[in-house]
Amino acid sequence: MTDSNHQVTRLLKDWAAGDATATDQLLTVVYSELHRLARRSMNRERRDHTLQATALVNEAYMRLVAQRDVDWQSRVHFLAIAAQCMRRILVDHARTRRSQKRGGDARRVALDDDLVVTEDRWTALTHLDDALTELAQVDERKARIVELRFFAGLSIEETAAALHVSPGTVMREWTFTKAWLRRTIEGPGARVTE
Amino acid sequence: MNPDRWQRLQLLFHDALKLTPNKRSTFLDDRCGTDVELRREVEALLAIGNDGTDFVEMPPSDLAREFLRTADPRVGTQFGRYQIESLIGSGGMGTVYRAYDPRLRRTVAIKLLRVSDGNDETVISRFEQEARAAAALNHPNILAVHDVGVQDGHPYIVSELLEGVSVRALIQTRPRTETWVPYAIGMCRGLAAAHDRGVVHRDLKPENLFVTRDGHAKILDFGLAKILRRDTASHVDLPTNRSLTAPHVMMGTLGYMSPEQISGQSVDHRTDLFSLGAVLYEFLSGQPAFAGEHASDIIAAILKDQPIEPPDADDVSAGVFRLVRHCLEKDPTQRFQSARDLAFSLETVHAGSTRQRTHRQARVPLEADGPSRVIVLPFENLISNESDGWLSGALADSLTFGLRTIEHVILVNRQPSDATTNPHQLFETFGVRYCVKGTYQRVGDDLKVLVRLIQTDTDTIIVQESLTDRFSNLLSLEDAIAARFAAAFERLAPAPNPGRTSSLAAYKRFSQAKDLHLAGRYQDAVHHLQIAVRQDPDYADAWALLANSYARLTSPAASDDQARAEFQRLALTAAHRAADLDGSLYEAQIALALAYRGMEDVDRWRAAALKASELNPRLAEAYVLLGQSYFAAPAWGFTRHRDGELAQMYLRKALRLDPRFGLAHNALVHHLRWAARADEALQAADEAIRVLPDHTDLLRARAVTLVQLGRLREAEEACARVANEMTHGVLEEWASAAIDLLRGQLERGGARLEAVMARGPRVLRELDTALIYCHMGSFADAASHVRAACDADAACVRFVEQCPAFADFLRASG
Repeated sequence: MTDSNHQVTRLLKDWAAGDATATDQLLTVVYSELHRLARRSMNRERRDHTLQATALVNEAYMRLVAQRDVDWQSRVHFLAIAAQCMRRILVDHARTRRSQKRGGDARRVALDDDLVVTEDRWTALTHLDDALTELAQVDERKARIVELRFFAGLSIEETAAALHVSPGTVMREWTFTKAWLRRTIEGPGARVTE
Repeated sequence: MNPDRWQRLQLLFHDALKLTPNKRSTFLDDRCGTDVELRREVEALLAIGNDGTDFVEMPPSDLAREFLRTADPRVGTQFGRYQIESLIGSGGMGTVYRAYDPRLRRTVAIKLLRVSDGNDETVISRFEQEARAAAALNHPNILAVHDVGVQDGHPYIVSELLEGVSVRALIQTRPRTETWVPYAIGMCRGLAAAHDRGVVHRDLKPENLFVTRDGHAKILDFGLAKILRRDTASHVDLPTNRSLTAPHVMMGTLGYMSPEQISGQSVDHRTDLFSLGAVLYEFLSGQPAFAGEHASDIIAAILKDQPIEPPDADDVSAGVFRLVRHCLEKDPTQRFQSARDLAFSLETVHAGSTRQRTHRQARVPLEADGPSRVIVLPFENLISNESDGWLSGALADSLTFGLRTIEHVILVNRQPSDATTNPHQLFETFGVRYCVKGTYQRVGDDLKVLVRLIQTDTDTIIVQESLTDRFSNLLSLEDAIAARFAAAFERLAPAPNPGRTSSLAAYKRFSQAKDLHLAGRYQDAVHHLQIAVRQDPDYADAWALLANSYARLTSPAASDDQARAEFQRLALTAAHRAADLDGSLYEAQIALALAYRGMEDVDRWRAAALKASELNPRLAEAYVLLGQSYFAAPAWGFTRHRDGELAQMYLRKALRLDPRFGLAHNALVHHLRWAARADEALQAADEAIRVLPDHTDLLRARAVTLVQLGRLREAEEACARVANEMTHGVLEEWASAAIDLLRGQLERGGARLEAVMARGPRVLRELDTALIYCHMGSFADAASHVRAACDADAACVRFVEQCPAFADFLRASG
């Protein structure tokens, strides 16, 4: 078992035992692990990157946590933290791209249909991030639901467990939040309009 | 939103969702009462419904995938003195980053080499020795290396940052032989220079060859092959088994290796000629010269096979193929013996091909005797829907922009006053060889665009493209049009479109503002641009145009002193913002130059204008700004280095690029006048007015030139024309006053003049007025104006001394 493996498992146990500071440390470790995984995957120079965000999160979990030693709750807590990290990594990247989009590749990107779609998605991602930040100020739980479902690919049930609420509540709030987000991101009122 | 209201919103939403849609309205009437706002909010959320296409329903796996492809932990960090900005690419040799060098204030490329023994001192010293020898090569066709070194065990090479395409990408576009042969000639010249200094590349391949955006071939990574294959201690460059099993290191290269290299014999400069031959073969045929499924197949092909002539080769290609076959001789002694010989042979074939082409009326719009002038006319809206009118200019501008880096093409600026769209007239009047005419129709969410490239003298359609897309895809539609036209001009268009926005709303504002700006309605342009930069704060184009509009508002005629100071401040801020967002945006540099000009900061003004001209060497405006910074006329009383020759050179250059550039004509006329070359000034003014008959500034420039020459009757007529043309403003008032004076109505003219002079900076007008008084013989009045001018700007003294019109005055007043 590796050092970070030990560390994460211990931190998860600390958290389960009520140590709130463990979460902050977990964030740091998980963030760097996800980054490392991403980098390693790049260095492999695989042409077909089939790895997905959610798969990346799961890979991090498998690597970092001694599964037999932690309970289901702790797993969900870990995934929740990974979701936050994933959000940060992707959104940071989206903003860097934005600020550097005048780089030499801009044209090529614009000419490739597939990539245009991806380009829109990057932009949409930063808008989603803004909207989630706004949402968290009014209703933290709804923002967390989106984070877990979208960035870590958690199911309704897993999300409910992570947030200590019933799946029915998650379902309801998910429906509402989706509508609200879409209105905020795309509809009038959210951005400067005519 | 307060928590109460938030709760109510959710409750109403969920309750209403349970009802059938037709019952919701009554339900909401009942529950919301007079709270219209709340009701609207609920209805908006319900209207979005649940159609399953939500962004948040799709986990960002595609983004994660792309992130994995491009993410790199070094981005954003410091490496030595360099700030790493982004990842350019990664390959077997290492990783290349775009970086900024704060000491020399330039953007560079850094290549970090992948070595296994980064801490081995002999490896490091060998690297430095080899890399420095390669770095010493100084040739336009060889990538310029700025710095080599080792940082924390990582050998690195800092070089110029190239913009353009790799030959690998170029080959994939299957360019015509005539197009790529000049690049091949450039590569040969670079190779010859290196071989002269005893440096052999040893790893030429399409990935190591590059064509910059302005059409220069560059050879990359000289000497690296030798460094990286350090395990072969002797001169033998045999790829070891180990490297053969590391496919990413060797496989790409293998197909371009010479037989002597493959078989482990000693190699000299002729190995590079073989490799280059293999690259040129791929240009010709689109296929690698030596291919195979396994490394052993490729090796066998290199050692035994003769390349096959591409079946569809035309005369030129067949000629080039014979040269390529000579490069690919198995025995080095049978090949071309020097890169210079190859270059010479390629030139001969190429010269023959261009002659041939002029005979059979080239289908491409390139002229042998220099660049073609092209104008993109505003697009025509086929459906008279006023609200889409902004597209007319927007489509034209984006196409102009997309074509701007194409060689042999000069794009003539669009001006709203251009009434002529008749191709013959465009040719006759402006010497425009080609014009682009487009139409568009928007039906619902569909936008259909038809664009034609027309040869003006014959009025024939050369290229026609028709595209239809969703209106919301406007930005990519524009890119597609530009790309197709660029291809029609027989060039790749690798130009990135900087300063773009992802906000359609902001883009729409920007386009409206651009039209207003061109029409001289700067205040209105500012209004739209302020909204555009609120909608997208990173929209560099909008910031640049905003700065430009503000700068125009600082002109003395446009605003009072206090407003000017404020506009100057705003112009500078916006211009800096634009330049920070996009260092390669020439509009930003133009805006900076304008702002600094307004602030009378000549050094920065000149520097920004120079930068703009470097970023876009065909930008007339940049040369006008440069010329103005040198020109001889006293202006706002600040001192500057005046250089008449430079001023004239820059202004004439601007006019060669764009013969209808009113501002440039105006500047040239005034420059010549104040250089006491009034005859030439009048010639320039006449020429300008021939091209731009209604330009009021030019009419006035001509009028005052006539005054200076003492041709008072003509001057009076010219002033009358100015007074008629203009409906308001200082110039018209001055012209009216001048007419009075010229007619001998000194009192009324004098009174009018005083009123004009009380407004705004006046050095030029003081001198013009003094000139009139001199000609009228009123030396006392002339003296007071001369004194005022000279007090404001000492440069006037020299002018008064030189100008023949003042000779009598000087004699009379001593």
